[in-house]
Amino acid sequence: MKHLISKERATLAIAKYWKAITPFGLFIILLIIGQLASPGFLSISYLAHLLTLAAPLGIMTLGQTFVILSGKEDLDFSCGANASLAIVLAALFLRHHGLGVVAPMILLIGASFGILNGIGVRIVGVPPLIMTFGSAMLLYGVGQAVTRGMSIGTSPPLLTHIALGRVAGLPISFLIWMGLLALAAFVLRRTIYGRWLYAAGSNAYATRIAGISFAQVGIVAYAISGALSALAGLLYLGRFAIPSGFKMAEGYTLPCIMAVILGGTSFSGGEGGVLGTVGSVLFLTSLDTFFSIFNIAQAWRIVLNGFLLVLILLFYARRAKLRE
Amino acid sequence: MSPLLRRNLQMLPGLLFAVLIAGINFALFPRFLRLFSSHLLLVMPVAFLALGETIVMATGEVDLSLGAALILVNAVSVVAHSDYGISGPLFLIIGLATGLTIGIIHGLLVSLGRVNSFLATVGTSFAWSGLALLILGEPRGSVPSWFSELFSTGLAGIPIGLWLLFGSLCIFVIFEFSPLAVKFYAVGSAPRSAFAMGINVNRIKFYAFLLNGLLVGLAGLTITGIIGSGDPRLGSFSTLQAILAALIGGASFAGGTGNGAGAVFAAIGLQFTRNLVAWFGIPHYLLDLTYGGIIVLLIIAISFARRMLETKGMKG
Repeated sequence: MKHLISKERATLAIAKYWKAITPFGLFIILLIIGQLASPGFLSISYLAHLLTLAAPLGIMTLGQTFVILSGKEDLDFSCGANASLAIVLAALFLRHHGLGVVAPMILLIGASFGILNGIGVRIVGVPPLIMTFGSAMLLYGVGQAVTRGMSIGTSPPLLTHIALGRVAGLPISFLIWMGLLALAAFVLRRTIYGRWLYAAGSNAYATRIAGISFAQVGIVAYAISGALSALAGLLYLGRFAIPSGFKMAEGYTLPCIMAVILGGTSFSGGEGGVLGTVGSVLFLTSLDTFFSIFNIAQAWRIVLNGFLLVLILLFYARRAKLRE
Repeated sequence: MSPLLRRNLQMLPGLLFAVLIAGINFALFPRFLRLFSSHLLLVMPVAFLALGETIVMATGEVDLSLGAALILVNAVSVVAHSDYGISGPLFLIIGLATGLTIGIIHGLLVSLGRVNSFLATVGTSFAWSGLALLILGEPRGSVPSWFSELFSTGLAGIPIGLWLLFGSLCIFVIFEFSPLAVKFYAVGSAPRSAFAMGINVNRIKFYAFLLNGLLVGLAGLTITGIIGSGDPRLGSFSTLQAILAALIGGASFAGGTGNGAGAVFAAIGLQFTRNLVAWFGIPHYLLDLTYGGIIVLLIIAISFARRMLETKGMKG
């Protein structure tokens, strides 16, 4: 009997974690394919490069996880647009101010756009995807108005060092990602806000009855997503050095959403966490590097990302049958 | 008030909006009247999309890939003519077939795949625009000469814009009075009850996306006729415009409502608004922000008004 229970428990544990393990498996399969296709592909320098590339996307997915957890069908589609605007504004502000002033300012701007999204979704009642799809358009519009189609400003050496440099062999941006990951995991598991977030995601009605403000919990989640997207934008600015447009981070929107759902966070909310996302961020980023390594047209990357999202939805986010 | 009459009264806000904006246009810029038929033509792609979006939203789903699908239809039909020498009626069939294929894929994803249409169509929208970029590469290509002539001179002495407007309203009327329409609205307003009544909910949703695909094909052909070539960067706002027009036409994201003719008129009003924005001499780098801002604010305002009305109705 005892044996049976422990076996059941083990099955449950596997069922709980296999979703988080799958992306790591995919990542390793991808590395093996790369190594087979071009020997010498797998190296320490490639992996370090990969961690540097993955860090901003990883940071962006942390905020996205909060949003997706916060409710049924909640989603932040404006993360890439928010990061793009952060790139443009940071480059502009850095012409006159130091990084110490600009960084908090950019995060604050990102968070306030997040709050606007949250208000639109939770108080006005626009469906999340429509709201953030629209605000993404607006953020690009602001970016276009600010740059007037020209490139403005450059990244200061300090920011470039943070985005691309290493400390003790590890990329600094990767360390920032890991630090924020630990913080996010702590908030989700050990703080009252984390409890509220899971509660809001699992059952909005019960959450309201319990006296928790469903709207406020959601708005905070959108604000976190906005701030972290802006932080990712800062790191992108450091990497690109000279921003050459107002849609620089557009291509990261879909990977950001895919990584979170692939990482085992349920699209219907209230289930999942930040840890599984790490594997999927590494998987998607290394998939991205394939396009430049094997010289495949960028348009294929867009097509593949689109179909990949549909595929992930088919595996991870199917609706219940009407009969059930 | 009978439900059919009430549904047809939903046409009024869109109609009033179109007439009002056209009036403002005319009052400020008298040349508007002379150019009216060409302005009307420019509206038609979005009008078709708005009609399609209304049908999809009536069943409680949404299509966010309209803009990208429009580009793909444009790219495929232009490449068919320029690279493979297809001119004749086959040119039209290829455009419509592309739209239908897109509709079938969306329909299968939603009905058999049971995925959320919001997110699935965002995914496919990237796929469609990427594919358009792949097959076109850059703005290029041409259309058969009879096709571009049709758009510049019209048919039987009447400008093509009017024909297309007439056609779109005909599609709406046929849809509205077909036995299928009731099922569409039923599926949108109460999927479980519809299912219990023996309506095949998934099949109806599939039909909605199929019809939407056909309208996307028409929209794509129309825009191809207007610009006379292929451009992988077309229509950045068409998706949001179509959604907003559907909303003004009485559709809601919750499903079960919507009036196609209202959406068509609303689309006309929106395009004329765009004319106004452009005519006021706003610098090009502020155009997207201004026009996008108007669209997004209107979407938010309508959602808010609907929500207020619904809660009021529940209390009363």
